[in-house]
Amino acid sequence: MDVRRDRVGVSRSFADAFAAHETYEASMTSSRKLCAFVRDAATARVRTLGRGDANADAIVKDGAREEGRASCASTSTSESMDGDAGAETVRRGAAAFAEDPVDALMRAANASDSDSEELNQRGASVEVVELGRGAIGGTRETEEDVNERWRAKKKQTHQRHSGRGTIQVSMAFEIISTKAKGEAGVEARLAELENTTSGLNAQTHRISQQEYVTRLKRLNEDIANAWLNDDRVNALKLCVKVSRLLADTKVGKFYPVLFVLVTEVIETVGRLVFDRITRKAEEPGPNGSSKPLPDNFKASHVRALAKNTCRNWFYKISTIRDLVPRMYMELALFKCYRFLQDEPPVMQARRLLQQARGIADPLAAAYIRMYIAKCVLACDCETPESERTMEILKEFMPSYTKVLDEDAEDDPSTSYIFALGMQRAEYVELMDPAMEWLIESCAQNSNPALLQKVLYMGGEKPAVPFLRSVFRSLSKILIRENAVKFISLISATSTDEDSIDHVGAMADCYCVLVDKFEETPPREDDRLAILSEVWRAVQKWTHIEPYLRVAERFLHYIIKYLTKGELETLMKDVARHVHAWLEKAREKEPMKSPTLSAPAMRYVARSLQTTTDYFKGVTALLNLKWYVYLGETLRGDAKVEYSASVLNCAASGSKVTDPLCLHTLLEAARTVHDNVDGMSSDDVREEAELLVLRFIDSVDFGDDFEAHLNFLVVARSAFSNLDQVQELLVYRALLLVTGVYEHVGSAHTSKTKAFVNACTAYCQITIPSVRGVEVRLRLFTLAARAALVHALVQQADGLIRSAVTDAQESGGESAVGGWIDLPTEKSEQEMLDFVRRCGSLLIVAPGNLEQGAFLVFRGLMKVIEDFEWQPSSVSEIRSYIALIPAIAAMVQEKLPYKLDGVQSSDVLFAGEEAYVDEATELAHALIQRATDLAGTELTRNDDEDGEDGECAYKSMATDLARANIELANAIAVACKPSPSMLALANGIIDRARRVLPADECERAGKRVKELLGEDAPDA
Amino acid sequence: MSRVDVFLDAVDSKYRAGDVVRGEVVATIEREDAPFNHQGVVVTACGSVAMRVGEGRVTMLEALFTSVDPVSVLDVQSVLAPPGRLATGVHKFPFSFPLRAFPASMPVYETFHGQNTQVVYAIDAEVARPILRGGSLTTGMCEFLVESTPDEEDAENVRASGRVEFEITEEQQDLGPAPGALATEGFLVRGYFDKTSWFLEEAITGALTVVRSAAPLKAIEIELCRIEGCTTSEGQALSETSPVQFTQVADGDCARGTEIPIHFVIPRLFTCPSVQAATFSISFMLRVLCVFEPINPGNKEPVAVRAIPIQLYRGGPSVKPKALEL
Repeated sequence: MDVRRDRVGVSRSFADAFAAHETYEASMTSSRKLCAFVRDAATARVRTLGRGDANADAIVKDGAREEGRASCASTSTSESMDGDAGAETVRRGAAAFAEDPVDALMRAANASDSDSEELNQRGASVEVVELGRGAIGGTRETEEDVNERWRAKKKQTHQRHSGRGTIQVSMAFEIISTKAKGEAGVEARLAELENTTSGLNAQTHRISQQEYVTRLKRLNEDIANAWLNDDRVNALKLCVKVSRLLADTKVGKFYPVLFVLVTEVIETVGRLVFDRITRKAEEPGPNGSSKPLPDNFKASHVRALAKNTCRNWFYKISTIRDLVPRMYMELALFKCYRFLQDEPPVMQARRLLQQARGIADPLAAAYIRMYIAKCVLACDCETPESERTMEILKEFMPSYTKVLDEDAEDDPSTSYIFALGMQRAEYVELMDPAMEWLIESCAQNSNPALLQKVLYMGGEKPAVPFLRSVFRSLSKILIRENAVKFISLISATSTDEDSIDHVGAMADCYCVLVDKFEETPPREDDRLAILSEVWRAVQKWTHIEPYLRVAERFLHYIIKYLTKGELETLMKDVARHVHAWLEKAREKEPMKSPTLSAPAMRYVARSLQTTTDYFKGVTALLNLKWYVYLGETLRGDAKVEYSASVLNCAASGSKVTDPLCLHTLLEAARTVHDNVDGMSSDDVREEAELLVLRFIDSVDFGDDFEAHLNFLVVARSAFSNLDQVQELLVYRALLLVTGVYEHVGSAHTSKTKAFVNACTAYCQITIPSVRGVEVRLRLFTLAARAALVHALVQQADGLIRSAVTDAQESGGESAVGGWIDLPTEKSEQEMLDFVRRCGSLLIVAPGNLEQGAFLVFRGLMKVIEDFEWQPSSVSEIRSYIALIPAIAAMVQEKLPYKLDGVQSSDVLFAGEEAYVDEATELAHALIQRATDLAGTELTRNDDEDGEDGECAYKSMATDLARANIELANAIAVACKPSPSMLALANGIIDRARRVLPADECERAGKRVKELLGEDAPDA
Repeated sequence: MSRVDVFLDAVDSKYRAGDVVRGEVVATIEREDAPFNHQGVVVTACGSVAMRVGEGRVTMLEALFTSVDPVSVLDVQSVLAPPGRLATGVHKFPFSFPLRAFPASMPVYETFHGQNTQVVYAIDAEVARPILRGGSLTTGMCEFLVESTPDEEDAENVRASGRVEFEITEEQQDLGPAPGALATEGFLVRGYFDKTSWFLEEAITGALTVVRSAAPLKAIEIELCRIEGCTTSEGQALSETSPVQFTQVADGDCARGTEIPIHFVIPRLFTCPSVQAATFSISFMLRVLCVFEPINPGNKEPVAVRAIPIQLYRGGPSVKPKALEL
């Protein structure tokens, strides 16, 4: 067979035929078109990079056979690994004690109390009522409100103060320190015998919080059981023992939680007693029906019998020797006074309050006062002016201030503080729930004068924790009215030498106030005043963490209520402080480079984040010196977050041209990139990729191509971990190349020539590091085209050869990022595309003078041979088919494709017979191979039976038939007309006749006859 | 099993001298015992003052020889039903008798459970039956409480009694083996009780203040003591002091200078109006105990004491039970 050749000037049969053939590419016909093609392909791909399309490639073939692909190279796995996720839940040592014992007791009391059938839970009702803040003029809280508030307080205390750690428990409180009743007695006695000198009190156990709670629970159950068995005496005894626990504050930090737990137990018992007396009051006689007491019954309604029982209870508890349990038991039974007297038990409350002075331990005293306050409110002893609570507060405050008073060394209360081994500030923190409860109770009465009085109770210079609690409970309106005054109060507590705790507490206060401002805006004239007041005090602080905390909060405040100028001033001050602190740290340790502590860094990062969101324009942002400086002080995760936010901000804006900006953004991108390593989760990786991609995209050097290329070089080394970025860089380089062409056309100066050479060299180096063989091949071919645009023949040749080598070496199982990564159909399709494109390229690219014109072509054929096609794969056939017209094209006297400056094979090998012969030989081989493959019998796949099997077989058969038709077509295009070729082609078409509709085959047959028959133009 | 119970009408089984004690004897006869032939249903009420010599005062040998005769206060017997027969079921026999001392000159003493002196009133109901026939049904001695009549004079005494103040210092105190700084620098606790004579229904009130103290305090307690005296048949007069109740007033090293209230509820069964009778006497005393922390833990704690004698009187119903109030 002979390959069809156009004789220049005589016939154009091949040219026409080829132009009509599928594999013809219009873009290759001129440099300009090719350049446009490359540019468009690159731009299209750039736009889709990083969009995260998880679909497989969709090969878009439009009419002009230009290739634009929407695809995504990265494969996103379906499982996402939460590597560092999962906030560690802090295990709470004390279990939630709230519901169980109460319910258990109440249910138990319900079930089998022998006296009556129904149990009216009067007074024990705890309907959830919305918290009413009293109207102006001060209405009293109802009992339900108080209980509601109490429960919230308990929960809050529980949460705030529970934790891990062991508690010291002295043997004296044998109920807690015993393991089991029987053992304990013996143990305790033995211990006593052994340590007669040290005495029982010195013996201490250390148990965990959880265990303590468990033992308390057990005690609670014992009480419940005793009550159920009508052994009320024992129940009372146990209850007294439980309340005695509150006398022991050596448990230290556990005390608030202990208080919560114990009060629940004694309240339960109190309720049981109340119910019992109620029932006693109802029964008119042993055989009569019981008439329930009205809800607001008077003492006069109560039967003598019930009154007696009530009195008996009170007598019983008044004989308790120790002060603390006696008081707590009386408070537990406080409600029962109602059976004896009509008026609320105000006298008793006052007496108890005074008796509380006898409790020397400030912590225990604080909490019992808190409980008195609660009982006072719940039993309706309070007046509209909150006098009772104020009384209690008056008792409480001196004790509180004395604890905080550093100079009160001689005071006996000091020994209690130091017995726990705590600092005063820590100790006072334990008293905070009590104080907060008292102040909140006062705050229920919204009379402002009242709260003023409360504030004054703090003394001339109220202590900061006190202020903090007061501010927490004050209503927003009050704070709004008196904002400046409050702030000056806080500032007044500062002295020259402030400890970090003090400063921290002050910071807390400021933050509490600012938080209130979040919801209620301060008055117009006050806004700036507030800021300046606070800043006057805060500025002097040298401790960086509280400072930053306040700064960060105030940032929001400024953004909401003030102008940009203030924001800048604030941030400048922050930068100054940070700088000063770092300088000081550097002085202390000149060898180490100083860094902020992690919490401080977090504040800085958050502030920067807020600023970034506010400014929205990255150029403006990066021109702010303080911004950049603060960004540089960050390390670690904070730095990554900061970088990410900056990049985000940049991406939303326009092109980045400012070199300073660029540098900063590059640094930010570098940080984000460096954060991604082998163990990062996919989300992190994707996000980082997206940020970097957008950053690189947004960089615009205008006409300075060299600078751009330099940037790309830098970027390549900086972002070596991210594949898509590398891909993008190649496309960008290619765009540079096309850009140059658009500028200078073919008229190159030596400089431009060197430049495009450098660009292609860049591509050559970068492409092998991209993952995914199909991506690489695509890039190679595109780069080769770009090189050809500028007539860089050697580069193009190198690129094509690299492509072919790559395709070859990517087969097999050991290849990294090779064909094996792709699903079989896709890889076959990709291979086919590659062959087609490469074929087109080879038409234009001149062959090698030394090693043979068809060296690369042969290489390509070998690649097709070695590729692991599926059995009966149509794509394999099609690859061969694609090459047949290509080889024919290569021997034409005038190539169908022509590019400026490229001396293609038609010039180089013009007239050489050996060239033509070799081509013919290759064509022959190709046709042979293709024909053989196309003729293989389709084997039915035995595994697929039934419907599916039939369909699959049918579709494969159809494909094969079509391939045959194409083969026939290709032969017709490529070969000179001859009867043998015609026969061959017809024979091939016959194969298809079995499966395809007749008219399709007829058309093909006709066409073949046209080209190969006797009346063909070349014949 | 058949049983007999006695029920008194008063709440709490508490009666005042001069009251009429009413109640009923309820005999429940089971089928197995019916018909119950008995020799009469008798109810007996008796009260007496029983004394013994305290163990601490005399040796064992002496205790054998010394004896104190009990003083009988009440002895009433009444036959509720003549001998007869009781059928199955519940039978009620009401009764009543006045609570009057016998002999009439004797005052009705209040119920008192002391250490050495016991004033006990009890009632006993019996459905008599000879032993050979199965024995009687009896309730056994059921105690009931008696309060003495309030005296107008007593009330006057109480009203007239004035404040008693006290001071406790390191002088005249036995502070134990190792008082340390207490003995040298000392301490001062000042306080007062509102009255020296109290009604039993009231709570003993007062206040105290720790002015200064060289050593930290452990606790301050108020102790109510009773002084029981008895005259033996030989004519020997012995008396013994024992505590009745402790009430802690201050727990720990309380703040200096703050006034801490005293509120001591007088226990019911273990106190009675101060009595001075021919053969026995009961009187009361308050002691303020200041317990200090020992110098070395393990040592005995130094205790400082101040005793204040008081008189207790029965207030009667006119006195509101102010124990439960201020």
